Amino acid sequence: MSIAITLTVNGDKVSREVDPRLLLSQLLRDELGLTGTHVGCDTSQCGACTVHLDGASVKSCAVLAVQADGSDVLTIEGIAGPDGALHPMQAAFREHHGLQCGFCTPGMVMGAIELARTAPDLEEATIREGLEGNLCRCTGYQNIVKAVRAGAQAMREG
Amino acid sequence: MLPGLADLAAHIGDPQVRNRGTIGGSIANADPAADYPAAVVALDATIRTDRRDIAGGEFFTGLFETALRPGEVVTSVFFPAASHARYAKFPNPASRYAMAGVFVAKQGDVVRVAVTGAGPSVFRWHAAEAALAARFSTDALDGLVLAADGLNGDMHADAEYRAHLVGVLVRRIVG
Ligand SMILES: Cc1cc2nc3c(=O)[nH]c(=O)nc-3n(C[C@H](O)[C@H](O)[C@H](O)COP(=O)(O)OP(=O)(O)OC[C@H]3O[C@@H](n4cnc5c(N)ncnc54)[C@H](O)[C@@H]3O)c2cc1C
Ligand code: FES
Ligand code: FES
Repeated sequence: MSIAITLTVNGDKVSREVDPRLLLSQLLRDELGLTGTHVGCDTSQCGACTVHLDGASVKSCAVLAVQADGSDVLTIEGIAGPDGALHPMQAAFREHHGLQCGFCTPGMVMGAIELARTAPDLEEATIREGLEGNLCRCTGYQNIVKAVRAGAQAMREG
Repeated sequence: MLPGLADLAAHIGDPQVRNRGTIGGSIANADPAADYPAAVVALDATIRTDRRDIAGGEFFTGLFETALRPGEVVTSVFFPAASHARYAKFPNPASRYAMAGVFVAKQGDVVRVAVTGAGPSVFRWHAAEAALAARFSTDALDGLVLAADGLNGDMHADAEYRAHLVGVLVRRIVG
């Protein structure tokens, strides 16, 4: 059995017939070729697969594609400007060296964008708590926290 | 009305988990370390399904087991107000699930102390309830120890450790 779904991904309308058990992460990567969304664990622990679903950050390995029917999905491929200019959060990760291997980075950036919009302040503790759902095996988080603070400040100012 | 319940919800997992997870899914799953079951039992919530109302105290029946029948869907959960309602958990540092979590609620003269994370399923610590009903203060708990029999022991903590944690958490809430 397959189910017809229609959703918006990075501004483009997408219609597909999908297996009811297909994950949103699989739809994005395998069907739409948006491999910027990484899959680190597939069990909702690591946050590498974080995307925005109707504006809220979610782990796309914990959302069924059919649950995204009618929704607006934003992935790491959709956040740069139309001219390719980096999103302020991406620019801050580059500037502050908030990554080493880069595997966690798309999820970190998507999580951080929501954090920038919703956090009451940009204290270190607030940022660390806000990124609890995103694991990084390389950096030790120091530069990620710096990058997120700078990126969030840039978003709030811009 | 129940800031203790909002506080519990605010500490479940991480932002992405909280953006998606529902209370119905959490209680239907009846994970022994989940947070909501402690609130459901301590506040004597009513679980409404597509078929009937189930009392909070009768909903959780064992490890990952509930009173729900196959196909029965939770449609809402009602929490009655309380003069005192607070939750404290000792989270596993990696998963944030409760190694032990305690919800203490006082409604009129009735005090309920519900414990999650420490046993195979949420349970009430009746001795602590009786002590706190007589006098709602940490002194009332002097000398009171939860027996470790039947509690969970795993790589994170043995049963004695969890029993001790429960005593500490109750005192933190009341004190
Ligand atoms: C990284 C991580 C950290 C977590 N940390 C915590 C934590 O600290 N504390 C905590 O308490 N929980 C924690 N959780 C668990 C989380 O709260 C649950 O996964 C979530 O609440 C489940 O809700 P859901 O709506 O996604 O249910 P689903 O996962 O969709 O469903 C769970 C089960 O319940 C059934 N079900 C769902 N809704 C209903 C309904 N309305 N009626 C009847 N049956 C239903 C489903 O069929 C399924 O069997 C964590 C999860 C993750 C992934
Ligand atoms: S791949 Fe989704 S959380 Fe790890
Ligand atoms: S940079 Fe390698 S996992 Fe974070």
